[in-house]
Amino acid sequence: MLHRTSVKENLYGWMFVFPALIVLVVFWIWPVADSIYLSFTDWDMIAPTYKMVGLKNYVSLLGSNTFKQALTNTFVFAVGVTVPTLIIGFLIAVIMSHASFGANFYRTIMFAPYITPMIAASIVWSWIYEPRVGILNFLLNSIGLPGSKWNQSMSSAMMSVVLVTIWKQAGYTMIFYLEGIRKVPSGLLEAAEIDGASPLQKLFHITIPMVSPTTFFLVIMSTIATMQAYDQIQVLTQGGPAGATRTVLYYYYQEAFSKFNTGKASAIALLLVVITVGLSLIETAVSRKTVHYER
Amino acid sequence: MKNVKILRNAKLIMTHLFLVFCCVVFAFPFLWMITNSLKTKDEIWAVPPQVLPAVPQWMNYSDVFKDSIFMRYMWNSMYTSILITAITLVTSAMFAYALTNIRFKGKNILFAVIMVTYIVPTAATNIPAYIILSKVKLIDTHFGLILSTCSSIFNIFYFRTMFMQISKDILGAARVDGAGHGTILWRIVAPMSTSSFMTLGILGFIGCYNSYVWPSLILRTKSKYVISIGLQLFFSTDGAYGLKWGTIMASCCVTIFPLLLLFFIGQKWIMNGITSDSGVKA
Repeated sequence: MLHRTSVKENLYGWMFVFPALIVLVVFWIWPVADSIYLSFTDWDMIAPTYKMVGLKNYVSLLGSNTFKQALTNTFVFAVGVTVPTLIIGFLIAVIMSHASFGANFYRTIMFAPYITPMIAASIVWSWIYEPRVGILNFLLNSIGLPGSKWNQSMSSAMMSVVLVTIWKQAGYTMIFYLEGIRKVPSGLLEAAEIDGASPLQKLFHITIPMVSPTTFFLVIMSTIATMQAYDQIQVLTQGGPAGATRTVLYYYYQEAFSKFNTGKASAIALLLVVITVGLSLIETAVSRKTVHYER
Repeated sequence: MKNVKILRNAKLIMTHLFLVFCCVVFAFPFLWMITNSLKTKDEIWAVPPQVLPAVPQWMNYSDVFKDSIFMRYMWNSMYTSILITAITLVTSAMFAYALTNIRFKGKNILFAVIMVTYIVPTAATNIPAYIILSKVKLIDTHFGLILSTCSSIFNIFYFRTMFMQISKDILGAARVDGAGHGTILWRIVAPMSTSSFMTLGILGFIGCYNSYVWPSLILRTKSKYVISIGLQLFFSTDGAYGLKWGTIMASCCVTIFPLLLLFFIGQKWIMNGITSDSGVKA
C-alpha cells in the first residue's frame, strides 16, 4: 500500500513539473550544453558541415582588440550604471523616508521608467539627445554649459547609453532602499540621537551599514542586468560609433545573427557567462567583509 | 521653541522641493514625448525648442491609429504576451506545487539544476534555441515565440516560496478527504495565493510586452512583428531623417500608455512582487 502511493506520488510529481520542465530543457538547459559544443567548432549556421577547431575561437577572441574593447566597454557600462543608480536610489529613498505625505505619489512617478519598454524610452531619449535641436543641449547651453553630440560621437556615446539606463533603473533601486530603510530599527536611531549623533553620523554609522544587504543584492542584480543590456544600445548607437558602445553582449549578437559566425559567437556567449558568474562570485567575496546581516 | 518649528518646516519644504524636482527629472522624457507627439514638423525642429505646440496636432494620433500595420503589431504584442503570461503562470504553479507538496524521486537534483540555469544569461541559449525552432519549422511563427518563452524560473521560485507558507494541515486534511493533487492546487492553494498570481501575472505581462531581442531574432515577416520590433523599425526607417517625428512620438505614447495604465492599477502587486525578493531566496 505504502509502496503503491509512493509510485503514484512519483508519477504525479513528474507530471506536475513536466510542462515547465520540457520548455526549460529544450530552450534553456540543452541550448547551454549545445553552446559549449558549438564554441569548439567553426560552424557558420548555414553550411551542412563544420570542423572541430578546439580552443581556437577562445584564443583568437582573447587576443583580439575588438573583444578587449567590448570587454572594457562592458565594464565601463556596468560600473557607470551601477554606482550612480545605487547612489541616486539611496539618496532619494533617504529623503523620501522623511516625507510625511506624498511618498506614494513620488514613488509612483520615479518608478514608472522601470516598467516602460526600453525601445520606446530610448527612441524618446534619442530625440532629447539630438545635437542640433534637442532639448538637452538647449538646457545645458542655457545654464552656460557646452552641448555635446551625445549618442552620435565616439567620446559621448557611452555616456548617452549609461544615462538612459540610470534613468530607467534608479526607481528600482529606490524601491529596495525604501524597504531597507523602513526596516532599520527606530530605537537604534533614537538612541543615537539621544547620544548626540548628527544626521550625517546617523546616516553613515547606522543607516548605510544597516541597508548593506540591500546594497549587496542590488549590486549583484545590477551587474547581471547591465551584462544583458541590449535594447538601448540597439536604438541609440548600434554599438558605434566605431565600437564605442559595443558591449560583449552586443558583440555576441552581431557575430551570431548578422555575421553568422556561430562558433565564435557561442564562445563569446560562454565568456559572458563566465564573466557574469565570476563578477557575482567576486562581489559575494567582497560582501563577506562589508555586509552587515542582522543576527 | 518657535525656531525649532520654523526649522522643521523649512526642512519639510526642502524635502518636498527636492522630491518634486526628482519627479520632474524622471517624468521629463514622458512629458517631452507627449508634447512632441502633438507638434507640427516645424515646431519639432524649432530652435530654441518650443515647449508646447501652438495647436495640438491630434492628427499624429489618428495617423497612428489609422496605420493598420501599427495596430497589427499592437495586437500581436497583446495576444502573445497574454498567452505567454497565462501559460507560464499555470506551468510554474504546477512546478512549484510539486516541489512543495509532492514527494517524488529526483526532486532535489531537479531543484539544483533549475537554480543553476537561473543565472545563465539568455544570450547563451539563443543560437541553439534558434536552431531548434527552425528545425521544427516554428521560426517566424507566434506559436514558436510562445512555446520558447512559456516557462519562467523566477515564477517557479516565487510560487515555491509562497506555497511553502501555506499550512500543511489544510492540505493534509484535503488529502485525507480524498482530494487529488490537481484539486488541491487549483481549488485550495491557488485561491489562497491570488495575490501571487496577480503579481506574477502583471510582471510577466510587462516583461513580454517590453521584450525585444528574442522576438526580433525569430520573427521575420513584417505582419508578425510585435510592437517593440515595429517601433524600432519605424524609428530607424522614418526617424533618422526627421520626417515623421510627431508620429513617432505619438506611436511611442500609444505603446507606453497601456503599460502605464496597468502599472497605476496594479502598483500594489508590482511593488509587492519586486521587494519580496523571493526570487533570490532559495
